Amino acid sequence: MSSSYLNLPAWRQADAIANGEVTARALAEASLQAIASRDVQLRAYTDLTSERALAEADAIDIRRRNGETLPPLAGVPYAVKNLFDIAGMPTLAGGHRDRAGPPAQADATLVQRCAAAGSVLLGALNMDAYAYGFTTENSFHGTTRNPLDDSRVAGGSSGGSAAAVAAGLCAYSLGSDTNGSIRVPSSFCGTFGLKPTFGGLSRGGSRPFVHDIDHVGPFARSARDLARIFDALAGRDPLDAACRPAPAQPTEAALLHAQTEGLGGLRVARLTGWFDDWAMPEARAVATAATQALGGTREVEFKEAALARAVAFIITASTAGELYRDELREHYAQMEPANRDRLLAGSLLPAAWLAHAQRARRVAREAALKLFEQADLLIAPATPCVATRVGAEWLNLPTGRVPARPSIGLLTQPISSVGLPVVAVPMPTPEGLPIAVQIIAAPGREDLALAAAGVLENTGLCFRHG
Amino acid sequence: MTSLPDDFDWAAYVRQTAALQGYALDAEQVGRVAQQLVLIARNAAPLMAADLSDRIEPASVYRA
Repeated sequence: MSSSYLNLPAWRQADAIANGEVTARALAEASLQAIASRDVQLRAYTDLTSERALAEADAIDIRRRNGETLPPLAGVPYAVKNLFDIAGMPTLAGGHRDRAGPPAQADATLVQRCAAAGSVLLGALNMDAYAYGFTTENSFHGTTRNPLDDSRVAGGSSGGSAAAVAAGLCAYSLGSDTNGSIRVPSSFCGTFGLKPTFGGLSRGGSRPFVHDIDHVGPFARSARDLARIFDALAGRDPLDAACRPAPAQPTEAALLHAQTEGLGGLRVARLTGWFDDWAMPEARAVATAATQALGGTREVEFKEAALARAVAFIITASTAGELYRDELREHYAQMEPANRDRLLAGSLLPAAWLAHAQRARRVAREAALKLFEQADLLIAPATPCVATRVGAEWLNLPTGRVPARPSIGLLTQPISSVGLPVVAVPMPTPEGLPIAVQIIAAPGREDLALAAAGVLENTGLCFRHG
Repeated sequence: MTSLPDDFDWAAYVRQTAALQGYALDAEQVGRVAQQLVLIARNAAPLMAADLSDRIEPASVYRA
């Protein structure tokens, strides 16, 4: 049964196709059938690219029959957050006005690179409108439900990307992360997620939210998948001025080496202070468990975390507000009610606040980099708690009661604000729902974070689906 | 930067700056946007309290 492959990691699916256990077409058809039966309730997808998927799958099957060496993700079904351009389709970025707009002329850079790696595109995925939110409660495309408990949100803003992977409706997906939008939904849905170093993967051909902080990256069901995907997609792109060169060595090889040989004396430390203050006991517990499992005995404090978080908040509000200023002026009534007032408020902020935030960002960055004099990898919870209920307005945290929607990213914002690479690894809690830990490395050291994620996965301590 | 006074009139600020930006907001919208600014300002407090040296440059990503 080809459907039995749907919940395997992407690397296993690629192996199965290369070995002839299953065809790429059978896997694509099984994926589309699973979406048809499950996604009515889940609402992870906003659009399907069925014809393209079957054509891409057939092309892989032909290459295999011809005896060609297949690329690393050959025949593996994937989907992308609907802010990535897909040729021939309008790019929605969670809104709906663009549904009637002109279609994208070309695939986004990462979609092109996924295709070059042999993957099969199933469709576009739901998100918070304009990427401004942590819950994927979208007035136009519906609320993406958490596959682990449909009374709860999937997280956001890349909620569809996490839910589709968690439910086996694709092998991997792409999302974006400005303030935590890969790590939060990974935490809530129990998937692995990679937010690379700022510029680690190209944003070319994707709809921006906050140019200075936007990152893009993959979701998957194993750390090894993340490494394989990162290796396939990394590399400079003239369409993204911030894009960095690909790592000199494949991260998948580093991960496999660490899984057999260990982390070779890497210093692992748990982040305290801000990351304890804003976390529920179960979130602190998963960070402690992960740190110990990786041999970490140290604790360090990122003393500028509050500053880094405030920097992210102001740069986001101001930059996104300006980006949508014309839209707010002309089409306010047609915009997402959940965040149009927040966008509008951001567009009214004094310019001096943004300039001050950009200078403070440098201070926060220098403080973050100094932490790596004490440790090679830092561990913190990705979310303060497990997935919240649909419609929840407040979070009750040890430090106080805070509005839920802007606060779910309290623990992720200080890290993306300074651009460090992070792998989110889901861990179990006594409630039965996951909370991810963030494995944080120095800029450009995705290899270390992915290797540690692979080692942690091998311990058997990570969250497992059903 | 200095912190804002607790009694800062955000609604008046919204009315002035919205007009500057060309937004036509009714009284209800002004109230909602002012609430959002209160939230933003509260979250910006650690930033507003940061005393930065004038030698610190912005961390912009612009490259010529």
